Parts: sequence; C-alpha cells; structure tokens
Amino acid sequence: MTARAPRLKCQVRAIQLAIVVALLALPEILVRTGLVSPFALATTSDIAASLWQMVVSGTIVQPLIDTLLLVVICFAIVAVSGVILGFCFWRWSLSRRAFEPLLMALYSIPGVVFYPVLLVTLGIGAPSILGLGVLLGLVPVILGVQNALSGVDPVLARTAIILGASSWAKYTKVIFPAALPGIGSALRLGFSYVVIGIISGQFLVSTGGLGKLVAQYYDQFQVADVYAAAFFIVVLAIVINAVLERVK
Amino acid sequence: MNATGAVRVADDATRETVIAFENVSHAFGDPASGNSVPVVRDVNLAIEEGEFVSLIGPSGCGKSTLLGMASGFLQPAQGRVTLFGQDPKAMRKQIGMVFQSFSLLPWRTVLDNVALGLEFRGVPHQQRLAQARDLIATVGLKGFEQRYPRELSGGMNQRVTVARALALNPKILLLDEPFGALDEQTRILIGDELYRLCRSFKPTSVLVTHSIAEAVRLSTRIVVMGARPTTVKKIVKVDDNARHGAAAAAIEEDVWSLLKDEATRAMLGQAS
Amino acid sequence: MKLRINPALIVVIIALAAWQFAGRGPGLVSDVIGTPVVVATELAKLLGSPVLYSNLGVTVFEFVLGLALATIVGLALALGFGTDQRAHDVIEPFLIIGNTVPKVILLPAFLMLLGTGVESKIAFGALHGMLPIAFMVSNGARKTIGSEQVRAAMVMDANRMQIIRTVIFPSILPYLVSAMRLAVSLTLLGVILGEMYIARAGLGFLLMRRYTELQISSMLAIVALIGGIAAVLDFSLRAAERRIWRSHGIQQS
Repeated sequence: MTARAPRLKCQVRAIQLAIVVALLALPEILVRTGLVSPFALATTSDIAASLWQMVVSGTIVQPLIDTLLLVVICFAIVAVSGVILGFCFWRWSLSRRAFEPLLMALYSIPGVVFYPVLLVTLGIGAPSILGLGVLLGLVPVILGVQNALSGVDPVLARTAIILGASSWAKYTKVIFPAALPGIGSALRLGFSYVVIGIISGQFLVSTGGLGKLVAQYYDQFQVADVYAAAFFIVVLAIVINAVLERVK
Repeated sequence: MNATGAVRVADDATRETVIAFENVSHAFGDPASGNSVPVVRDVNLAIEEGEFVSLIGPSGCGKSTLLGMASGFLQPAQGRVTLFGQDPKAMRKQIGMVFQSFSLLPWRTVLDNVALGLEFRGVPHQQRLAQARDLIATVGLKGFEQRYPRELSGGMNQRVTVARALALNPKILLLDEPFGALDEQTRILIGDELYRLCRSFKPTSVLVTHSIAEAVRLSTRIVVMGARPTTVKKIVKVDDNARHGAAAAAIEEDVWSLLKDEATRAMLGQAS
Repeated sequence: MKLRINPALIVVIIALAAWQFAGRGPGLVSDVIGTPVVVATELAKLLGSPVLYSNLGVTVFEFVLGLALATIVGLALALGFGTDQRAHDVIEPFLIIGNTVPKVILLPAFLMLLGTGVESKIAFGALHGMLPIAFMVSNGARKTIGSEQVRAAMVMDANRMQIIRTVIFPSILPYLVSAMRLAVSLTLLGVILGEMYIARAGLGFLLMRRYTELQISSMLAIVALIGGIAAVLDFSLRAAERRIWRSHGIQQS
C-alpha cells in the first residue's frame, strides 16, 4: 500500500509544475505592477534575457569552469580523506573519542567565519576556497561513513571470519560493500556541502568563479544579472544533485 | 457448527448478539485500477454476550481486518458489521482494544497511561487515578505506578495495556494478537491472567491469535479462519473443562488439522 | 586509582601547544595571526570593550528574530503541508532543493529587497533555519498521526482536540527539539554570513572589519567567540534533545 499509483504521481508533478510556474511569474508581476521597485527585483523576462546573454556571450563559461574545477578537486579531497578518517574513527575508538567532540563542535560553528582565517594563511585564491569547501564537507562525510560502518550487521563480519576470510578480505569483501549505501549518501551530503562552501567562498572574497559573478553584478547594481546568475547556480545545483541521486 | 453459513444463536436464546458480521467482504487497494486484493470474503459471524471468541487463522489472512471493522476503523466493502445492532463508530464507548505493539504513551507513567481513557471521558483527576490504581493492582503491577513503559518488560507493558482497556469497563474487548511480541512463557502466564480478568469483568471478547493452545486455553468458542481472502472455516465450542489435558489436546488436534491446510495454502499463496 | 582523562582534551592541549610553539620564531604565526596567548589577550580586551557588546547585541537581535520567524514559517509549512501525505510529496522536493542549494547567492536578493540593515539578515537567517523545522516536524507529524498511540486514543473515543493535546503534540515534541537544534545553528550561520558580506553592525561585520584592518589576532578572537557561542548553544540543545528522545523511549511505529 506504499506504492504510489502512477495517476497520483502525475497529479503531484502537475501541482509542482504549477508552483514553479507561479514562482517564475512572480517577479514579472511584482515589478510590472510596481509592488516592488525595479532596483530590487527584475522582471522574469529581463532575467531570462540576461541569462540568455550570459550563456550566449560566454561570460558564464570561465566562472563555471573555475567553480566546477574547484568543486571536483575539493570533493576528491573530502571523499578520500573523509572515508579514510571515517574508517579510522570507526575502527579505533580511541581516535574517535579524541577527535569526535572536536569535529562535532566544529560542525556546529558556521564554517564561513573561518574563511578570513584561511584567506590570511593561504592567501586569496584557490587554496583558501578549497580549504573552506573541505572545512564544510569533511565532517558530514566522516560522521556518515562512521555511521554506515557501525550500521553493518556484526553478524556479517563474524560470518566472514568463520568462512576463513583474512582481515583485509573481511573489510573489502564484506564490510565495505555492506556499508556502501550509507557511505554513498554520506558522500552525497558532503558533495552538497562542498558546493556550498566553494560558492560561498567565491562569493565573499575571490578572484573568480560563479559565486564571484553574483557578487560582482551586485556591486555593479546590475539587478537582472544578479538574479540571472543566482538562478543559473540554483539550477546547476539542482541538476548536479539530481545526477548524484541517480548515481545511487 | 458448520463452515460458511451463518452461525445460529446457540442453546441460550435469551443471550444478546453483541457483535455481528453479516455477509462481510472487503478488499484493499483501488478496484478501479485493478490493483485490489480481496482480504475478507463472505464472513458471517454472530458473537453473543459474555463469549470469548478466538479468531485463529494463518498469518496475514485478514483476521485483524475483521477487528478493524468491529472497532469502526474500516468500513466493509460489502455487508455490514454491527455492535449491539449499531454502527461500531457510534459504539466506541463500549469498546476496549488491546494491540500487539504496546501503543502506550512512553512519556507518561504507568498510572497516567492506564488513566488515559478515563481522562478522555472527563473523569475527575483524583477519581481516575484511584480507578487506575485499582486496575493496576488487579493486573498485578501494584508498585509500578510511577514507572515508565521503557522501564518495564514486554509482558508488564502488555498488562498495562490490558489495564488501560479495562479501565473504561468496556462491554466489548478486542484483542489483536496482543501477545505476539512476547516470549512463550510470558505468553502463557499473561494468558492465564487474561482468562482470570475476563471471567471477573465479563466483557464480550474477541481475540485474534495464531496460537492454537492459547485459543483453547482462553476461549468459549474458536473460529477457524481460512487463508486470504479469509472466511469462516469452522467453529469449535470449548468447554471450561476442556482447557487442559486430553480434551484440550483433542480440540487442538481438530483445529490444527484444518489450520494446517489453510496455513499451507497461505504459504503457497493460494486462496481457499 | 585510574585517571580518566578525556582524549579530546589532550588533543586540544597539544594543538594549542603546537600553535604556541609555532609562534616562537618570526613567521606567519608570530607576525600575522598571533599565538594562542596573543589571541586570548585580544579576546579579553574585546570582552571589556563596548564595541563588542554593541555588535553582539545586533547579532543577537537578528538571530532571535530570525529564529522566531524560521519557527513560525517552518511550523506552518510542516503542519500545513506535512501532515497530508500528498501535500508532503508536493512540497518535499522544494525543501530538499532548499537544503542543497548554496543559499549565499540569494543574499544579494535579500539585500536588494530588504535593504542592508537588520531586516535582510533576519530574513536570510530565517530562510536557513526554517528548512530543518519544516522537514523534521512534518516527518514527526506524519509518523505520529499514523501511529498506534493515535489509534488507541481513537478507540478510547477521544475527540480530535484530546488526541492532539495528549498524543500528537507530545509525540512531535522530540522532532521539534531536534529540528530546533539544527535551526539554531543554521539561523546563526545565515545571520553571520549576511553580516560578513554587507552590514552596518554585528559580529560578522566586526569580524570582517578586523580582517580588512589587518588586526588578525583580534579577528581570531572574534572567530573564537562566535565559535564558542555556537558550540555552547549546540551542546546544550543536544543535551535537551537526548533527554527528550529518551523520555520517548518506546517509539513504536
């Protein structure tokens, strides 16, 4: 009885589509009727035109590449170190007891406050932005990997040993595969944090990237462009996350 | 007693029919989309005042669905279910129900849990606590009033649930596999207590179970239900002196021989 | 007698010691960011100066209002849309998008629409905080409404108000507390982020000012202060969270 009938799903999708259309139409209505000042909001048509312009003229290309590059590099770092550290903390409880409270404390602090520290120590540019991404993305991955490994039924591990598996094989053939779904979702979570970190860093202080693009347009009072760039980033984030969900 | 036909009101014609299932059929799912699963087929059953009837059948056959109808949570697709001749929803005040999962409120003490029904009825504070205390003592949990459900064992929690149901002095007691989550020994002990309680409170009771021994120990009548879509297969009367020993074994054998077929059918996914 | 020393404490001490040691000679630590002792001194200076308190006041103001707004909107969404399965299915993707998108890029929109004063920070903070509330409270509501506790109450012929008061509301409480812990953390993030970008006052603003003035040790003191506040809030809320989930020990679905 939990299976959704296809007819119901269509209804849901239709309502969602209606909501999206309404949201897209909102700027148009608000600005045209004068309810909101054109210095604060642009009409949907202007935003669309600006977005089109950005894509066609290639203005968006370099920042897009900058951002994607950094995201990929940062995620690689976060994924590798996150899984390794998560495994270590799970395997050796002393390390967990030593570092977990600090990680939890770190997690509760708004990561952006560390960005200026990174800027001072690593300078303006890629390293500090990568640092921010790592700062935001690492902890959820470590915690998620730990949870995934703890969630593996201990009976599986014992069965593997009884069947004669070596320690190495026990991990690679039994435990990690069993923990894979959990590790996968931890990585997905980490990825979205990495994206947030990279773009936040680029937005605040940076030499390039999509985040900086939005900040730049804001500095120059180009209202439509600000919304267009923001819209582009939102869509990009949605697409990337949707792709990651499929990869699961 | 025979199978699918209506059960005649037996010897004592002056006993009132408390719960009646008349030509009840039901299916889950959406008939329009062709996805419907019949669960109940042509059930006719009359339960009289003071009886303790066990519904026994293979797992998942739809016995709980019948209880759902008797408590007013489900409307039968066909036929009707009446309590004292009325719609079950109107008769809720007469029903006490015990579920398999404890459904106790974990943030309340045992005392406050047992008093819950009385609270809903608007019984004043001191009075309902006193009544609850009485009931808690009756189910043998005196001294545990201030404990929380998480501090008690499964058997104890189930006794609290029974106490809560009995607190409203219901004329009808519906029990949906209440001992399913308990170990065998606790099951037997609590079963004995339930027997005792029902003999003293005398509600008309319907117990859904899949333990034959339990049904024989507790019931005045055992209704054997078939595999899904379920229907009445056989009704066996149990006298008080046939609850243990050879007589009980004979009844168990009788019920099992029929149940075995039905359980096998259920296992193989066939209808009966 | 065995001494039980918290290993995390040891890590912290070692880290601080290493940091202090790194400032012995000339270099980044001693010339720019400062040793722990220097930062601690700056913190002490800060705690004695009215500059801190006026900015702290602004941040607290924005945070409290932002959290209140987040709670109102979050609860409205959760109870308005979250209880019905179909409505929830409609709203859920929007909430998920809200979580995964870098909300910082919406900050200019808030600034343009609400100005550069406290209003934009309050709204921006609320945007961050309302998502976990909407999400988690609606989950709790749906779990509760289908639960056997509710069914038992219905069998006992309780009316709607009684069921809501005695079963549903207490059942949702743990979800609400968990959600509030996240909402506090996220609202603070939103507020401080907004202040760091463009503001006239606030801890985030003060932090960026020290950064641009190259008073890095003082900046670090502010970072430590913000971090301390966030950590303490989180820690206490976690404790409350643990307590309330424990008192709901048997949570049968």
